[in-house]
Amino acid sequence: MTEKSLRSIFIVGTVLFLGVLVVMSRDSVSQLVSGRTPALTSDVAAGKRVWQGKNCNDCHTILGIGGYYAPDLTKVMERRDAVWLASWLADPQAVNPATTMPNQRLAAADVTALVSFFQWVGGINTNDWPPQPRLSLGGGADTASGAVVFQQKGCSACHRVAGKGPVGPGPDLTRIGGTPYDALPNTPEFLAKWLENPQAQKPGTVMPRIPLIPAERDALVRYLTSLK
Amino acid sequence: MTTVPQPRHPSQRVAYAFFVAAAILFLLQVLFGLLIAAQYVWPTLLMNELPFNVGRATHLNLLTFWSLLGLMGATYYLVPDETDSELASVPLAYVQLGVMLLAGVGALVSLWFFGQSRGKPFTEAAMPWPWVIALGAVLFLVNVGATIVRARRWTAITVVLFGGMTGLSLLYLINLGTSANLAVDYYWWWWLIHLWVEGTWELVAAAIMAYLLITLTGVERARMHRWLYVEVSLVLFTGIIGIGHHYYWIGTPRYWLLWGALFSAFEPIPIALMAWDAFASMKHRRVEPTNRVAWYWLGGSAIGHLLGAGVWGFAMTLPQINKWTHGTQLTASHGHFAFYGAFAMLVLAAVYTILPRLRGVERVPERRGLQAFWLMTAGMLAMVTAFTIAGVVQVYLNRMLGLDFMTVRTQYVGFWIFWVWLFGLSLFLPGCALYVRDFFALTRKASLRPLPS
Repeated sequence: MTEKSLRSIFIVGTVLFLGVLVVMSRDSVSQLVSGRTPALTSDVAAGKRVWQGKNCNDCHTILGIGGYYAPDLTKVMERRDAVWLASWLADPQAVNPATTMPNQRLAAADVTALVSFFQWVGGINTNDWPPQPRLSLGGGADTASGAVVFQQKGCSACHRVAGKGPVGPGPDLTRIGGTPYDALPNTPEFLAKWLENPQAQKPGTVMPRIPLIPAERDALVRYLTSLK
Repeated sequence: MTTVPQPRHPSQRVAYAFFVAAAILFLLQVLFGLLIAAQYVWPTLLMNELPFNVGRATHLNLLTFWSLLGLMGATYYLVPDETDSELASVPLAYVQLGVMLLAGVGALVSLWFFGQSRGKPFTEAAMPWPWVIALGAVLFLVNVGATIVRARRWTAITVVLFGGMTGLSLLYLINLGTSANLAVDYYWWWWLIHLWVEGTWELVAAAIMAYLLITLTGVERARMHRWLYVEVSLVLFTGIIGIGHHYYWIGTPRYWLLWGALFSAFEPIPIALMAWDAFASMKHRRVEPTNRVAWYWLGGSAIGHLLGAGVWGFAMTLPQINKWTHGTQLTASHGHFAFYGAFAMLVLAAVYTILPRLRGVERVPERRGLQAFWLMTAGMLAMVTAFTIAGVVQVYLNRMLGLDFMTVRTQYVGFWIFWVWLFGLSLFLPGCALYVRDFFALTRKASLRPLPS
């Protein structure tokens, strides 16, 4: 083929494919704003401005995009409740003195807006991303899988067990099965209730409510009571 | 045909100033990369003075900036050659460089000292600096465009080069806007990022590669022109809709899973063709290389582009795999390898081809240049290997077993990023520093010989 005809193919083909992309993009964006993302509120928009203004995205990832340095926050509201998240955002070191998240010195309104923003992001239809882990807890959950849940849910970010993990803010759980902590019971029944909702058992505790399915909760309780 | 040992057109000398800026910013980029790798391993390091997000934004922005300046410098050298005419305006080229540097310094100062950011990776530069960058791009296009139009020489190389530069400038305009909807914001952001590195930058790189191959190997120009059109056509025909591999999980409709997979699966083909073409040209050369350093960077770029962009990119482009790997250190491994192979190595090939000619010498001392090549290339391969292992460990423990992100980062992934840091510190940084030293040494030695006026 001559150079001239190859050039024509290059130009015509490029225009054609760009045209296809434009049409697909129009459809994609219209689907994005009507249904695939929740309705925007002024609080969500304000939260996004804080998120971007503080350059959070160069440490954290969101929708899988970002710094790979701090957790992906797409579905953060499935892992943390709003009350805990607000206190964390207001002063991370007050919740966990050992954390390396810098205090962003956010105004109270910014904290509220950020929480709304994360709730909004959680509602984006991401085609089931991030995927559910492949580890199944069905059936024979025992202390071993309780230890895995302990790692999965980030408990080891605040609690120390057998010399591994940080010193605080949570208590050292090395002997929690034999020695009660802070005058609270350590029976399986109480530990299950505690994990369900720490605030209900001890108002003001910095322990967040971590969403757990019953199998995970029971595995964790078995694991904790085995630590003696 | 023999190589011409000095610029045929005095206006080509503006390339030099662009290369100086590119060399210094390259070294700075590497230093910031080392800092953030160290922070990954020792997270309290400068945690409040220069936090990770600021260091990363700097690392990314310096990368795009020095690569662009290098590509622009090469363009200023190449266009007078291709059009057989002087550049439309030499002062305008220097003004343009000044505008770009002003924007760069302004963006970094506002990030470092005022904490200003627009919050999306690569495009953090706060207002008004994106407008200044856009102005720089316009000045560049006007100058290069006027040169080509005035000379009426639309060769394959000038068409593809100018098309790529126009496209990347137009795409940059996306960065001047934003959407309150994060998913929509990122939708258009990918137009900028993807259609830059897998579209318009590829055109610019392919044109410069073709020019360097013709210059260094003396292969037949007409054949190279036809190949160039075939390659860039395939790049865009696969790459434009291939943007879909970024639209799997960000809120976009499910049909992208099919379209993205289908088109991006073919993206390695033009890259493989380019590598094959480069090596075929080098093998069937009609002139012997007088400058082995440029020759190594050129061949290295062909291989690095194929491995980093082609193989590492393909490895995670299908949604079945990408579902697990998206947003992990595997992306970092691909990013480092692809940018180094496709753009950094190519810019260095251009610098080593053009710099001696600008200074009117044919042969340059090669020892230090080759040492820099091997140190950087070995360093990058080692870093990419460590990044890849870090990514696999992260995917397995965090995504497949569901262990908490921070547990995985601090106890398992950090170990491999330590190796990234160590290889960067012991191999890549010395290589880069050696390159910068060689760059200025070549300038000094060569400048003893006056240029023919």
